[in-house]
Amino acid sequence: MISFSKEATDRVSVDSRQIITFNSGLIGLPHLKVFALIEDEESLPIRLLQSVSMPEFVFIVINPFTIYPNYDIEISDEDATELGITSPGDVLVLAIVTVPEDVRFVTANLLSPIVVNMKNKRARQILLSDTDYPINYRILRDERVERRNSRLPVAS
Amino acid sequence: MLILTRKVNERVIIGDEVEITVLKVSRDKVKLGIKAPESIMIQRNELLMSVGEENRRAAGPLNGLERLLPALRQQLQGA
Repeated sequence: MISFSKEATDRVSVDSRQIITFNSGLIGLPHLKVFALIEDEESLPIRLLQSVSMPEFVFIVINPFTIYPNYDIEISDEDATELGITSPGDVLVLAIVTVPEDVRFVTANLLSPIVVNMKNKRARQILLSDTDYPINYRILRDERVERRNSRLPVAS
Repeated sequence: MLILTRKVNERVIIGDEVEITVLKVSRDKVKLGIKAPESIMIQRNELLMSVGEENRRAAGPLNGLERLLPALRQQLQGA
């Protein structure tokens, strides 16, 4: 298994890197436009997104559908046009992961996912409207809480 | 910054296509109606700010990933 230390990302084989371009950058980070999408079969559904111009900016991204089964997003016509999307099959959706000090509280941003058109490698971080998906959805289930809950007497 | 005073039901026009109407004013709230083409993004500022903040937080070092991956894999397999 490849461990994703910062140094290790440089050793990932070239064919698992794809350059994707965000014409308007990421939200709040508009200068970050070009990224290497780094993928390694062993670590899916997690991928890395590393800025080409500022390699110290590395984002962990995850396929949101694997952590939130009923996740459902609507890509606006404007975004679809901007990205040149012609078929839903060309679209890769990624949620940005935030890893705090205590990894148990790792979260994913389901409110503003990244949409990539894998055909032309154009990407955009969209902001979903009319949804209440959290910006900080907890990815890992809290086993202690679940264990405690499972001991609770079942109401009859 | 251009500053305009408007009364309820008065409008401001921006460019050819954007129209903002003051619908209601209460003590510390203003209700605005915005007409604009779909291509113009309209968002509450604080929402964009919080996504920007979250992005900057997420761009930190990758220290947690070695621990995240095994835990996540275990969870996904268990699901």
